[in-house]
Amino acid sequence: MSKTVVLTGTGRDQVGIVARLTEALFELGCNLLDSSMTLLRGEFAIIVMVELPGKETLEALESKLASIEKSLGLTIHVRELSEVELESGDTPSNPYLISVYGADKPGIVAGITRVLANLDINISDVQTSSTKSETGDVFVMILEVEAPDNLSVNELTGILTKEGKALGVDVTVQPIEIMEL
Amino acid sequence: MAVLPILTYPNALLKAVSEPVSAIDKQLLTFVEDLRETLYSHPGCVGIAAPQTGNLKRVIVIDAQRAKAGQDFNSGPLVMINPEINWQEGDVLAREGCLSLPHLTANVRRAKNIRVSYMDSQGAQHSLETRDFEARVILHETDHLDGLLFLDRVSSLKTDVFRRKRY
Repeated sequence: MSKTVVLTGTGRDQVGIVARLTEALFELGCNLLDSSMTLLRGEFAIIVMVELPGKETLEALESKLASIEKSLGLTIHVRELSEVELESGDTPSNPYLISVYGADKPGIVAGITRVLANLDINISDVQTSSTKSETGDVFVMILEVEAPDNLSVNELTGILTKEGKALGVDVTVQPIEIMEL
Repeated sequence: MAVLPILTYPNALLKAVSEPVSAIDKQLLTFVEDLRETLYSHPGCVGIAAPQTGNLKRVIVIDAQRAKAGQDFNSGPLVMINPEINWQEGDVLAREGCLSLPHLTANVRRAKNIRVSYMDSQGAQHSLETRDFEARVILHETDHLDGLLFLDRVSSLKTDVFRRKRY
């Protein structure tokens, strides 16, 4: 039985991180499922779901990764996933894109996401960026969320606009409409 | 009458260029009926192209009124044989899903207004000017006839292509 593991890693960016890491996984006979890899300023971050062949152990994977961690200066964590964790679930949901932006200050993400959590809204993707400028630092956050069926776009917009006002940021809510062709 | 199975990428037929229909015969009419039935078997589906069922003929079936986005303006159900886009203008960005790429959605730029010429299943020639959602449906489906998927129309994997999470 093959195992599915999730591998997370971060480290100072340099050329060749993805190549070294995926070569090592390929040598072990791993198949990559989903991954997300991105550069946050000078730090490269990786999340990869990997299918490890039945004949390989988690220890073998970890020891193979240890030498890469050392030579590339990465910190890598490996965890085996259960069947339940692998399911993506297919409950119908209402996807929304939420943009939040304003003058930077601590507490924007916490304030907005607390409101979402209280509404039972699940975050499926979030990206934030803080940019410095002479006229003031600007913070931008883009969230992809899944809202429960009983919440309308107007209600959600109203609640978030109110929270945005309290935090001094602008909030826009757009339903993600997918045209099925 | 039959609901035809939908091919999904990486099936190579989806990247092939389809052949024009030379004669409207009984075999073609049966296929058109099957294609229509296949379209209506998928909830919310507004268009289907023959190559999505593995038949490399230049035939598409659309019905824009099946989607909320098409309810304000549409021409109803249409069978288009040998459709050709004769004119297009404008630029609209919207997120598309495709039966042949079931796990992805993408932001695709397409024309706002188009004129398309085509033959109906009785062999009569038509020229249709349409816009907005219905124009998008026709452009998406005629792309299939040229072996083009929405992935051929995106400009960035990072900002334009999305893995379907739970929607």
